[in-house]
Amino acid sequence: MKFQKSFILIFFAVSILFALGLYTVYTVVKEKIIQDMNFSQTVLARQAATGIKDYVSNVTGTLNYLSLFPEIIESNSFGKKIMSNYQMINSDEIKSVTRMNAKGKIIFTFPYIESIGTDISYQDHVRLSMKTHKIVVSDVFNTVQGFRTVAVHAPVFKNGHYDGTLAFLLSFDKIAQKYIENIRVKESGYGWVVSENGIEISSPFLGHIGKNVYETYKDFPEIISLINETHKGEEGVTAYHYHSGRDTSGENVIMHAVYKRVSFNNTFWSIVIATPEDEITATLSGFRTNLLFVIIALLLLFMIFMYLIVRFQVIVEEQRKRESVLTDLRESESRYRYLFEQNPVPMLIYELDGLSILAVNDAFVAHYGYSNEEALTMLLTDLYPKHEREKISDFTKTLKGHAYAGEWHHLKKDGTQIIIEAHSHRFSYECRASRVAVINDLTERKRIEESLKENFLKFKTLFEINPDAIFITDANTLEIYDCNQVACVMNGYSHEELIGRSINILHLEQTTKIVDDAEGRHQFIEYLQHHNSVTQESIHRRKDGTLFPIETSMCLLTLDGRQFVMGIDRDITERKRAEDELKKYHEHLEEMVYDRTAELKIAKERAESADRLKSAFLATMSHELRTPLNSIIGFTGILMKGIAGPLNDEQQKQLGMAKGSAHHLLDLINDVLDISKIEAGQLVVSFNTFDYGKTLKNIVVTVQPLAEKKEIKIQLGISNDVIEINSDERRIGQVLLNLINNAIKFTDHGTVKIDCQVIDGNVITKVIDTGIGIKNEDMSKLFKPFSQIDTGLTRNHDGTGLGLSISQKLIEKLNGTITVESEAGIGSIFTVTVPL
Amino acid sequence: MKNKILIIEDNEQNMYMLTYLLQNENYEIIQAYNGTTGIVAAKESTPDIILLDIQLPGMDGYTVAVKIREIEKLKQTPIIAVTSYAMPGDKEKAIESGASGYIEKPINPDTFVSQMEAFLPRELLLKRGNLL
Repeated sequence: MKFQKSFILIFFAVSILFALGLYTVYTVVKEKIIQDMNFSQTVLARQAATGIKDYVSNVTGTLNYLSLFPEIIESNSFGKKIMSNYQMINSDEIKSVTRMNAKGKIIFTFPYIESIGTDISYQDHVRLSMKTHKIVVSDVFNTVQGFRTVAVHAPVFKNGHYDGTLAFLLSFDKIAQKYIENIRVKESGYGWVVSENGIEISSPFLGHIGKNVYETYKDFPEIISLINETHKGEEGVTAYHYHSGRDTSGENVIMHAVYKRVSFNNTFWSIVIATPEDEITATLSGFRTNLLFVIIALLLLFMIFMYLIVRFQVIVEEQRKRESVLTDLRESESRYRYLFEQNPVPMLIYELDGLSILAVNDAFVAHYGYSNEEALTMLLTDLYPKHEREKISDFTKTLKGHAYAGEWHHLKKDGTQIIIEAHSHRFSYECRASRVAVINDLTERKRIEESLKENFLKFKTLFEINPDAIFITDANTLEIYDCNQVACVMNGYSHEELIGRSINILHLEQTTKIVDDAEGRHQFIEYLQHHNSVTQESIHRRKDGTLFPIETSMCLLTLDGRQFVMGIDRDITERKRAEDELKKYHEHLEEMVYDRTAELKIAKERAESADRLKSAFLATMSHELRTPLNSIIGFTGILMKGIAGPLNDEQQKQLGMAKGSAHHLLDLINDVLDISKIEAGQLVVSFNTFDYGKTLKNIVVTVQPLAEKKEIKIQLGISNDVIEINSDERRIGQVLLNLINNAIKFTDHGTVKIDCQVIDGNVITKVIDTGIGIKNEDMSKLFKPFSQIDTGLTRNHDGTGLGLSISQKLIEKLNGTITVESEAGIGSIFTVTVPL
Repeated sequence: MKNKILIIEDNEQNMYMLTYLLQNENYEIIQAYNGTTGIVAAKESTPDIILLDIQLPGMDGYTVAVKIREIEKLKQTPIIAVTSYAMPGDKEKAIESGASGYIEKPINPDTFVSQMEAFLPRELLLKRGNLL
């Protein structure tokens, strides 16, 4: 697995990084520890050096002190006594006391008195002493008596001349014991001492003592180099390979060493302290091992942890996938269950072995009438009528995979037999070998097919017995698809000759032929599509070449997705002939009408132009008459106002008459203008909503002064329901004013009564007076222009005689009426009726 | 200072009548007997109100009203058509040409001045003391 591979790689990388880090830390710490160790060793070496130096200084001091004694210089008996006593007291450290003369011959020695008289001038240090006359310290050497010793010679002067030496033989073992051998560093670190001459003075390896190091360590160049180094400086640090002090036979180990020089007058010793590295770093190594262990453990834990985390994720992911698959499965199952249960087509599942029904869907229950429970107790064969049961039972055995079972009969619960066809498919239902079957009820379809067949026969009969020729033509190719017998006879072709040929063979060349190209046919079809049925006349040509007129009704029909044109042709030879006759008459008539119309048109134009002339004349007349009237009325008014000076009563009266006449003339002009406007059709009325009662009251108020002047009482009665009406307020006002004015004008005594109410959606206003009335014979003239009844030289009443005529025209324009009832000498009733 | 009225009227009698009537009401009258001089006079004198006859020799009253309205300082000046044209549409035609009002001839001397003053700006009337 990829994940594991990368996981291992990561683990190794982490481990290596850890190891490198650890190694670096370890090296640094180790170095530091060795440095510290070397420092400690140096301190030890210095202590040892100081100790040895002090000890030798003490010995030298004593020697110098004793050598000043005359007895010792003379070496007489007292002197000998002092020397032997001193040796005895300090015998632990001082192995012998010797007095040597200037020639190198022992004068006295104790305790090895047998050596008295021996010449020791051959010894190097003795010769040096004799030569330098100074204190000399010897190398370690073995005495004749067989112990290791160091000789210290102090010069003795007699009367200022050199007279040999006083010497002590010091027990070097004691010195070594005191200052060197007790040095222990770690487990097996040790100290050893080398003289200037390379003689090993002290060593834990006893065999080395007194021997030349160049000889002893000739195979260890590192140690030789260390010895060489001691010749160069006071102290230093170095390292070499050698077997450790604890195990001389073992492997060589790294020894970390320091050296320190102890200087004497004539020579020096070098103290070396060395410790094996493994011991120095033992703690660290132990710690290192533990640390390594801990880290490895941690790494292992980390790896396991990482592995577990990744493993966990993988498990979670797998779990998720599994759940998603499960969900899919469930969905799929529910989908298929839904497909089965909610399928609008009846379905059932039956077991192959035994043919028992295992499941049916809702559509099955609905279609067959069996309940679900009933169906589950049935066998497949129970659905079939008796004669088919055995056959179906055998048939099911032959079914494999997906199969079409063909047409069968099924019985519903109520016993109705239906025709079905079934498709079935092999299927495992609840671990049982089954088949799922889809059932199509064909009963209805069969019935429709039957009825179609019947319809077809009906149609065919109608098609054939129709007295008109019927063509069914392919709309796209114009080929004749079918035609009836009448069509064949009418056109002189046999049925076979016509079928498959273009309909255009019947048409007279280039006249009514349908354009036989794609665009033409397309336009033709489109035209038919927009018109349910099209009727046109055309000329057909029979097979024998004779021509005859026909009337064709065409419509578009679609059969089996193909577009057809159905054309019904009728021979109209006879009709055409009749029509031609009619046409002749018709044409004559048209001529006559045309002539008459022309005449009328001229007359009309003449009349219209006369009307226009009349209007223009009236307009001009009106203007021309008004201009002088303006002067008359204006100046009369100004004069009567007295602006130009006061008038006397007679002047006032006469001007009043002039003013009255002028106003009468103005009224006349206005009325004539109104009449002309009405007659010229120029009168415009404008409809508005207004309060009829209020208008009527206002008019009564304006005529009140006139009535009062004639001592006539006005009675006004307006019923409450007279409210707003939609009409022309100004014109209505004009009419009412005219009528009321007339009533007052023609009444000398009594009352004028005005009564207004609403009846059947009309406002009806009656103006009733007790005036002179109208004679029956005058009634017809009443509404004619200029027809004031009382014509003649003795005109008692003002007015133009146009008022009633105008009023009637206006009211008619407002869709109303004016009527009058009157009796001469009693009074008149004028009734105005206008719609609300 | 008197308020100025420009009267454009070709009929001498009418001119005389209006002048007489209005001078009596303490107005200063400027007279013009045709449209062309009327426009010039209006431009020069800036009257407070213009009385305009419609039937004039040469340029008719409608055209005069249009021309006067084209003059910036006379845009708001009341122009009253005083005319004997009483056919349908005459009044509408006058208003369309720019007239503010319309008084039909023959005039009524008793009411003419108040009819005219109805078109004067309020502050002018206040100044004249004709407005309560």
